[in-house]
Amino acid sequence: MTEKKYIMSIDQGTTSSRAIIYDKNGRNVGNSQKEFTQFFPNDGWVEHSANEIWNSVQSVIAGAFIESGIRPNEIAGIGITNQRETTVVWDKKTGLPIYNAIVWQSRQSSPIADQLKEEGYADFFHKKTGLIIDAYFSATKVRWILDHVEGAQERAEKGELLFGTIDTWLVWKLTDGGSHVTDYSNASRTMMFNIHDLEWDQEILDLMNIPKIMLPKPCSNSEVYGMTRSFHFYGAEVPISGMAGDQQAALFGQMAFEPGMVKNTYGTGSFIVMNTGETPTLSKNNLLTTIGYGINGKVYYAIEGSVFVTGSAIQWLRDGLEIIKNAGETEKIAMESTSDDELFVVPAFTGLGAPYWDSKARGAIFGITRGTTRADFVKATLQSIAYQVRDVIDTMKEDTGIDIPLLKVDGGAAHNDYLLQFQADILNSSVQRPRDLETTALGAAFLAGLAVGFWKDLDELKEFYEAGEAFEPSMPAEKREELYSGWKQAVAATQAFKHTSK
Amino acid sequence: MRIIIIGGSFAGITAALTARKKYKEAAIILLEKEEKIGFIPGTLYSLLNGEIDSLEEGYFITVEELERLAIQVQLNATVESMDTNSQKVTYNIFHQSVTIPYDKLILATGSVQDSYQVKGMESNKIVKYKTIEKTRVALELVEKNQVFTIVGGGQIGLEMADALINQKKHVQLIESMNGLVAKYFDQEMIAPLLKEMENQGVTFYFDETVKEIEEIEETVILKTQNHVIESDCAVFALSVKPNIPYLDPKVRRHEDGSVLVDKYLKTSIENVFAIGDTIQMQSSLSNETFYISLVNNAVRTGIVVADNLVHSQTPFIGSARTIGTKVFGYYIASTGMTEAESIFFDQKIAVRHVSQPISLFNKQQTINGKLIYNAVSGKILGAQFISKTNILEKINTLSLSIQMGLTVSELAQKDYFFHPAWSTVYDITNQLGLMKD
Amino acid sequence: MRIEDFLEKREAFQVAILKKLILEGGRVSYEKLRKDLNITKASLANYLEDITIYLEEYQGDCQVDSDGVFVELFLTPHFSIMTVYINYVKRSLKYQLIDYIFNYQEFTVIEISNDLSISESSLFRKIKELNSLLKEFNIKIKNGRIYGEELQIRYFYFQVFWFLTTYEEYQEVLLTNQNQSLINGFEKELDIKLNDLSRRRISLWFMISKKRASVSKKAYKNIVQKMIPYKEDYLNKQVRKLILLYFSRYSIEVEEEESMIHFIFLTTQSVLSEKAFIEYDLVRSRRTPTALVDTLLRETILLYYLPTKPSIALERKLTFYLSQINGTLYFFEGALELKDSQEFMAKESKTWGENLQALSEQLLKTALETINESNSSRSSLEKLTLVEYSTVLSIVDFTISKELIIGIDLDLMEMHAEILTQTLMLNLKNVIGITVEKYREHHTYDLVITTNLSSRFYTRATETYIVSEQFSKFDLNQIKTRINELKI
Repeated sequence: MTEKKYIMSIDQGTTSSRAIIYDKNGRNVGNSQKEFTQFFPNDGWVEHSANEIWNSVQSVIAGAFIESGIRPNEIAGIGITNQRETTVVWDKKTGLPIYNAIVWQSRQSSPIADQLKEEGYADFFHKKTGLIIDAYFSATKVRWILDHVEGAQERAEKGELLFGTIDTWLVWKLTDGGSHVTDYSNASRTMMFNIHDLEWDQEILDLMNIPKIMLPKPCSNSEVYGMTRSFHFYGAEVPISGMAGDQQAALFGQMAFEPGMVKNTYGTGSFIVMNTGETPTLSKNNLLTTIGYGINGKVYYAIEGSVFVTGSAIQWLRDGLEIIKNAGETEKIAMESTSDDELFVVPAFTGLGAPYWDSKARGAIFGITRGTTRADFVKATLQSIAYQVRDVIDTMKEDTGIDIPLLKVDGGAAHNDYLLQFQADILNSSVQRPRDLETTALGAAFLAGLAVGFWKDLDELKEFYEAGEAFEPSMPAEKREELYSGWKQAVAATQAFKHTSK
Repeated sequence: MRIIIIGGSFAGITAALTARKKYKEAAIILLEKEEKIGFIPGTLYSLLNGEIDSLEEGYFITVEELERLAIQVQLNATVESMDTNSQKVTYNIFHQSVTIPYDKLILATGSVQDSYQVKGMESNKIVKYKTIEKTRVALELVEKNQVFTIVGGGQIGLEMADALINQKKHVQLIESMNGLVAKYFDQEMIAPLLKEMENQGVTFYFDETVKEIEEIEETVILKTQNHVIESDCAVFALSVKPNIPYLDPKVRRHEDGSVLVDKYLKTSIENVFAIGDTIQMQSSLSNETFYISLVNNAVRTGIVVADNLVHSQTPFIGSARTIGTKVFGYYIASTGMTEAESIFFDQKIAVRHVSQPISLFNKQQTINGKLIYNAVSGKILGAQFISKTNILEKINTLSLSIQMGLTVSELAQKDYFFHPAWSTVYDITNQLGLMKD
Repeated sequence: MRIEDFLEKREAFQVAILKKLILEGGRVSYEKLRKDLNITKASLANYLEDITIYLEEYQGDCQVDSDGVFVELFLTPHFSIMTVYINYVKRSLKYQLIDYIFNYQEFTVIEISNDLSISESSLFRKIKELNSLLKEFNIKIKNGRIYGEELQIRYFYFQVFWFLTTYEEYQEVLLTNQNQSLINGFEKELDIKLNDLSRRRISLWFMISKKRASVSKKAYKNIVQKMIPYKEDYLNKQVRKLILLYFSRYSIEVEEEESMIHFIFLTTQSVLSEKAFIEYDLVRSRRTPTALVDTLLRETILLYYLPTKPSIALERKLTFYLSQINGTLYFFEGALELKDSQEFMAKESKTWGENLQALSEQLLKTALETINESNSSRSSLEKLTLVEYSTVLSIVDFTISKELIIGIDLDLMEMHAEILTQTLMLNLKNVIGITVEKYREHHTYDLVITTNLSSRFYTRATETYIVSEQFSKFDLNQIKTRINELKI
């Protein structure tokens, strides 16, 4: 028998699919990536072709094998991580989706969400699912599809249709219809899953009129869900043994196994997820409670907050203001600034998130003088990212009462040393950047490898895991508080400004 | 004029009778390979269902009747060959070859129940019904056996299933397509019948094609691509094939082996005509021709051919493929094209469904109808009915509409009688024309 | 096999002479012709005489003259030399034999030697020769009929008839009402559009199929094996439904394998358009050897070109071409070569580098391994496949590494035109992979930047970008975007 030397991670994201093969030491030994089409059928709607996603996944699996020269039968297990909440409904018999996949950002089901809010169900959902009612989450998207595809409701009730988030869809396809499953982390983003009982919530399903028969079986994040059918995996039957939504997979890939550990992914926006241990904590500040991961019979909860504008602020510098050529040079430019951090940029392009929740606020800049330079502008914009992250982390501390000594970071902007140092300073916590920034894919690989005994336990992971660089706070406390209060003032001033042209 | 007609069933006999009226002086010779003429192929079904009592009733005409009209009938005569150069036909009678000349030749040998693809067709445990011989054997097989597997879910298959279930037999049915009488009915129309058959214990194997028939001791084994199906007896209910082994190779055929004729039913060779199940019929709906084995086509071509023997004068109007039958308590009837088949049609079609009580006073019984028509011109292309009451005659209204090229709105205005006990305020055929999309 | 293999030696030489003449531009010296064909002067004279007689029927439309030093070919403008080739083949005895067998399916020695007016001994000799040609298709003539897998028999006839049927014949004979309604059926049921070429191919294929469908005792062993993974394929199911319905209209008894044959035809023989295939590709079963090979080969090619990423359009085209080639390789045996593969490879590899040739070899190896075919002795189909992979790679190579030639054509007053041209050239200087020059008439450009509103002025299919006199940064960005689009 061929030695099983690798784990494959499939990272199915919003704009592209990737496959990465990891060796025993968690090193990336082969990968492949492929973009797919984004459909925008109407204003604010975003859809994908679920079949095209499946196609792209097939392609990147092949691509990773070809690039690395590794053979399918050398793979011990497959981990899947995915764009969360994106909703697919398909025909059980033919395997054909009855509608495009409705992507998480898509707003077409907003009226359904609004109605639920109006009818006073906010608390009902928050208590059961840990979520704030929104069109992001799968429940309203499923409702929308059942409403808009002719005969769908009836067929769903007869058990002819299946629902799944992308993880479910991929496992179903890879096992050729053999397994219809999801994992706790993805299930907890559907707004139908009771995070306390770890079951689909019958009351919610009744309220939404969604037949339970179409829902996948919820499973832990690390167990064997099924085997690939040989043709789908280039001649090999391999267990699919790890699954998690992208943010939760990143939490796991950052080795944030202990309560109080936090990771932040600096993407277009920022996703901050904190491990809160084995009991769920509900936020008083509209942060979301989700399941981080379930493994070995235990379930770890998490609290999640997001910053709307992170990478997009840097894009604004590049494409809007045109004062930088590329994101990479912001670090150098920021270092050139000689000012005393008196400039504050509040990038509230689409409103303010946690803990302010002010959707009508718009961005503002404070403290401009005759001496303000381009470098100051760039620096202040980077700082605004760090301030917003602190806003969320402070909220998390308040909600959970847990202290946060360390922030683990990844994502594009995590390459920026200036940003990370300032982040450490303004948080007064260590900021740690792992060697491998692909923590999402790595997390899925860990989950898959643990389930099949490729790695014995978490301790084995710790042995080879390279922590990477740490940024220690070095700013005097006085200065830190002065700056942060400046930010708070800037935000308050921004919120005060509500002039809209009629 | 010497007219030779090969084949003494509906087509040949009708041609002989019509020709007799038209050509008083002509010598008309009918060659038939069986010992009797005019056997009705559906006799088995009628016997099993008790509609007639003996095989002897299964004839629609006798030799004597024909001979009284000075039509010469040669029984037990199997045609072996024909020579279109010298205009001669050779037949075998009691092991002797006889060659006779003709002025006009009409091929009316009909069709045969056989398969070139299924292995083991020679088995004695296959029920067939087209000739009196086969029917006699079939009756015996039905008597002696309990479990029957019908091969083919067309009209014959359904009728046989009905008859066998009435005889308290166990019935299984194999069909290559994914529905019943799929050539004539859209599956949503036939769904109640399918359900009824299931309720009465018929087991179905859809999407399965029989490859081989094997006899092992007392059991007949039918092999399909996915299953091995056992029973006491098989029933052959697949489509039939033109029965023309004697055909002069010079006569042009279609790719499926049937004889190619022009609209006057003349073959590619002068003075040779072909009718009934030996030819592809002109469709009433398009310029196409089909192979449609139906008695009504045999009779109608038999009439038309007589008109054209000397001069090509009466074109055959074509077939709308009209059928009607009663099985498992349902009267079903169809004419023209189905919606499923409309994919072969180059224009856009539209459909209408109507369901209404059978009469003003009888609201328990309903009749379901479906109309298929050209979405642009409104011309009627097809119709289907299903009901527990006898509505079979209504299909003829629709088949006439098709042949006359009526549109939906013309159908809506069709004249009809009204009587509260026997009809509704709006006749279903009008209603089909009235329905808005 | 090659189509010329049907010809007898004498006729083969005559066709070779004609081909040589076409290749050499219509005029070749007597000596060169003799040397190239490796024949004596006497035989050449002999063959030329045969040709002259043979061409008489074309009444001057096609004529070969020789003055003893040069041989020259004359063709009138509307006459295609293909007509002559086709007639040579159609009159060959071997062709007539296979055509006879097609038409009559079964024959006795007496019938066939009567009908073709040949002796029994030459009949047997010709059958033997034919059988050695048919060997690569794994079919043979024996005991008065043709033997072999049904798919192979139809494939063989399809290849031969496709070559020999002229456009006019299609219009008259093949596009019958029955075939037309089948084409309607394909278009409606599968929701595709079929172009003129596909329609002709379907018509020919179904003409062959209807004829063959009623033959009893057909062989389906390989096809049944090979189709097992396709059982649940969406298109396969649709085709089955359509075929059963279509044949139920005629007195044709359809076996289960019949629809398989048509599914294979539809997916491998250039019938589906690229668009139709790409739509099918989204829903097709991935559990099939061909889907597997298609993906593997595509990704291998894409990897080869990294970091350059071809456009989605090119990637789709690539997938489509590969699917046709791989499908043929998987399902069929034998090939009718229309051009000499060796010659083609030799010519290609000169201009083309060994890397890509090695890549084609690797693609073939991967494909054969995946579909479990042995690679020991390379069949003619494999050789042809190799050529086809090379062709696909050439297309990718050409498209990816294409140098764009851009012309600037400004219809402005001299001075303004000059300064604007200079500005444009300066701004585009750093864009990689383009040549910019002032527009010259009768030169070909990939893009013309112009103030001329009437694009009809330029040769067909020339891309144009119209700038205003007030040349702006917006214009420059647009031009750059356009260039990027054209490059991939």
